[in-house]
Amino acid sequence: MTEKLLTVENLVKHYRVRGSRDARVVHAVDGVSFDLPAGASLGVVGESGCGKTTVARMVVRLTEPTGGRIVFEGRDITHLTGGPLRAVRPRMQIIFQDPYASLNPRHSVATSVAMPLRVNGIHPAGGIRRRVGELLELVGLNPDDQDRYPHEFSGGQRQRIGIARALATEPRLIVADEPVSALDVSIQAQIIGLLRSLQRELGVALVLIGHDLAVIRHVCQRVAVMYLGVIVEIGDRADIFDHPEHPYTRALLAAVPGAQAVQADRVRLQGEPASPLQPPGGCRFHTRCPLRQPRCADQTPELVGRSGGQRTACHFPMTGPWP
Amino acid sequence: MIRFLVTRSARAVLTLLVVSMATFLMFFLLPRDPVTGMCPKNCNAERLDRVRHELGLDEPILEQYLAYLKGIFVGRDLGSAQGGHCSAPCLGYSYVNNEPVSTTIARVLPVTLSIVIPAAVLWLVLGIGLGMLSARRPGSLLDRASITISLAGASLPLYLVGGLLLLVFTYRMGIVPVPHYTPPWQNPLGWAGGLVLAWMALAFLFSAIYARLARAQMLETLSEDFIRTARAKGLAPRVVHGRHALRAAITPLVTIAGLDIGAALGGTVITEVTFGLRGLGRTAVDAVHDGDLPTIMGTVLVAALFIVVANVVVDALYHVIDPRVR
Amino acid sequence: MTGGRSDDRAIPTTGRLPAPIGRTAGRSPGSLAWARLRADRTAVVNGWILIALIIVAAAAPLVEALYGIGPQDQFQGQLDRYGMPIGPLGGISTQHWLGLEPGLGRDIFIRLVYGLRTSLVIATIATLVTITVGAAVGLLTGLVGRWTDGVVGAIIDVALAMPFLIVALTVVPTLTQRFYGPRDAVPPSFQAFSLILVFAVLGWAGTARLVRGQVLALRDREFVDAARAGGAGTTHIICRELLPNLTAPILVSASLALPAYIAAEAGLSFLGIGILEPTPDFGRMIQRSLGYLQTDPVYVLIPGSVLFLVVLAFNLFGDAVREALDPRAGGSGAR
Repeated sequence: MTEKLLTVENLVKHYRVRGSRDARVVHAVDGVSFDLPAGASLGVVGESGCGKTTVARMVVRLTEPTGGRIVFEGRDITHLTGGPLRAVRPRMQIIFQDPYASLNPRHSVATSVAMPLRVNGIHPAGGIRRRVGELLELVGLNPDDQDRYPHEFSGGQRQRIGIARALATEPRLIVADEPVSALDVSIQAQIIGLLRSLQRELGVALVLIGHDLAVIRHVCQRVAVMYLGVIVEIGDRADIFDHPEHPYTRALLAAVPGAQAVQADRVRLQGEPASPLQPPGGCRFHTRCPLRQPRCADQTPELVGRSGGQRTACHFPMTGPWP
Repeated sequence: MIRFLVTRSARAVLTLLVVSMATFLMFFLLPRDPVTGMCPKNCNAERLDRVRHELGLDEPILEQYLAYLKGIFVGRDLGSAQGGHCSAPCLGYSYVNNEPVSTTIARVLPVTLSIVIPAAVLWLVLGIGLGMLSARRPGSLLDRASITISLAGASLPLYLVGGLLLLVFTYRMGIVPVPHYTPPWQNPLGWAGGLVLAWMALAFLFSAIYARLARAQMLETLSEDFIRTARAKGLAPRVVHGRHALRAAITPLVTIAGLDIGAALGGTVITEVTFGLRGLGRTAVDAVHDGDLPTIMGTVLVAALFIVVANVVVDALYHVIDPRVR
Repeated sequence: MTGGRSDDRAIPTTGRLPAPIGRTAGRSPGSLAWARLRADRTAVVNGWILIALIIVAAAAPLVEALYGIGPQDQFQGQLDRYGMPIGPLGGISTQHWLGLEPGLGRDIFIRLVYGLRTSLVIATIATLVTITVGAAVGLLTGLVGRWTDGVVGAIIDVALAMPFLIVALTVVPTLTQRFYGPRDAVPPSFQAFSLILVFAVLGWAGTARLVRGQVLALRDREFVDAARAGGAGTTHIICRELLPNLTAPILVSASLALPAYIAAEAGLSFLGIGILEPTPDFGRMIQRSLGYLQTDPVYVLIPGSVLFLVVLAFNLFGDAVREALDPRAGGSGAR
């Protein structure tokens, strides 16, 4: 069995809310587990506020988990700090969502892209400038543009620069936090295509965070669906898209315009997403689930699998059409 | 809202306490014996010692400070020569003026108030009015003239303007009396006549600043989308400017005005010196020249009180006016 | 297609941008601001005026040598028996370009030159100290935890609550008395030092607030996270990521502080506690001149006008600098 590149066990992140009478806690992430072999790709989907960005930030240790474990390349990096953490960083990189905020406006493209090389003391053969040029070409930009400044580029181009920066240290893992959500639809296709080809050609493992199922489907071999801080379903691409079992996954798929989902009858979920300050007891989704039963409010379902690698956290996983 | 006021006021009180501590400590940097300065005429060593003891200056600094604080909140007992019990708020006794500091301040405060408040009304009306008119037609002759005047006004030293006003209106033309203070309830016309030059000087300088501010603020507000909607609805420009734009633009102006008024109340030193008016600022200057510690302390505290209170009021106003802040 | 903002749709996935046309290639935000400043006529005019003023002030001894008259030279022979300068307009002549002081008969022009030097030196040093301390505090407090931020915030509140003039009035003589007895002559350098100290102690808070605000806004921006994710340590983040983005509020602070300090120094001297005799000084000159308001009004107008023009030039230039850093529609921005 191949060693997993990345293993995430029971990741938890709670934020304390300041200034309230009682000690209120935001349950941003409440027990997320998955693993990722080298060179594989995993998509994490969910609506806003489900905690997927927090998971992304924890994996690259921009945020420290409140609980759980992160094992990267066989090493427990959960609570690493300082020197040891910085030694690991070049091997895991992140791409951010907002192309307008992820580049320092006072730094030229060359400076931004070369930053990971400089701070880690990496001196590529042929010089930094040449390496930056190579990276820019890799993402479809002109190497001569490296002396220009971010404000001279469009959103899509800036995102490419961000990708070039993430590739600079030849990481083994890239986490992409909603890399196309801020871009026009037509540009999204290009960037997604770029990510996909890069991932395959360079053999980098990829965790792609997003809320657009169509995008995820194009790139990722495995898919995890998150809701309110927990994974409600995880499986191979074919499993999730062809026979989704969790009602929430079904609803998400049905909401994709023109999606080729099984039983694409639209389902209206009731109510608003619950607040992460007070997640519903039992199954977190039960307040909105059309299939809920009394048991759902009392007992939290485990993420268990029936067949293959697909696992669902539901007491009544769906195998057929909506009742 | 109540909770906000409470926390904000607590912070204000804390700030004032620290200000008083800092001022208190400042004096004890003086190597010179503070008593000598306080007792300028016929003081021999024995009397000095007695005065020192009565004032409690032979006690440790902390005790003196605490006694001072106690005086402010509940009153304390001074020596018999200073009138026995000094009721709250007791700010000490001045040997130079031969009266309790609170009496001095109570006497000079109305002068400062009479200078600042009418001037403030003037400068706000003039400044904001001019700024708004300017913003109506950016680039027009009126606009450019007002920008120039504003810049000039903001760069002129007050004492120069004051001096020139005195020269022209009092000495050359004689239509305005030499500046002096008469309580308004005694003689309203005399009150106004004695202060009008000071008002003019202050108003000229400050309205220049506020005209610039108001103009910039109005221009920024006028470029917002909701103004476009109002215009598209066919509303007359006067309504668009007056009702819609003004309300949005006025908030930051009000807050800055509040802070400026607070600061002005605490510091119209130059105005008072230029025009020879005995207000809070002038008293402070004189006290410094005389080495009159208690009066200096008193004036600093009162001035700081105005600034801090203005800050709290402004914060509270913002809290009420701008729903985003809540 | 202009260089830079080309339409992505026109580029295939592995496309290249067209070669840069025109001057927009490689323009950093800093050089763009500089270009805006250079294009602003007011800024250029005032900039040159300021440079001229600085040169004249710095070369005061040279000016004195060329002019032939020193600031302390008295020309009693050219005053009448009341002590007033003979000749029109307060004694203006080819020998005394701006006339003579009544009473002491000193040349006004050369005294103004030296007075300018005093003002500029004090204001410049005070501004430098203010923005350094303010920026350092603002930076630290924006980065460090809540508790420190709260404490520093309280200190800033106190610093801003102190009534400037009254505190200055109190502190400056106190400092002087601490080091010099009532009969000692206080050297001008010490007078300047106490003024600079008071300005800095009361002035750093404004800069700190501005810088802190900017740091708080920047702290959560993704490029800072990117640097951290890339392996950067705190030093890199402060020096290379944050600091370049703080030059704007720092420059704004400096552009506001300098003319304010010039005016404040003149004001304090006017009140008698700034720079003392016999060092030439604008504020004191105006204060003295007010006594001659009716008899020799030219003597009042000249130093006042010069001071006014100097402050005006700084204000105009400062306005232009702020505008270049952050262009807004409509011209002169808020103060």
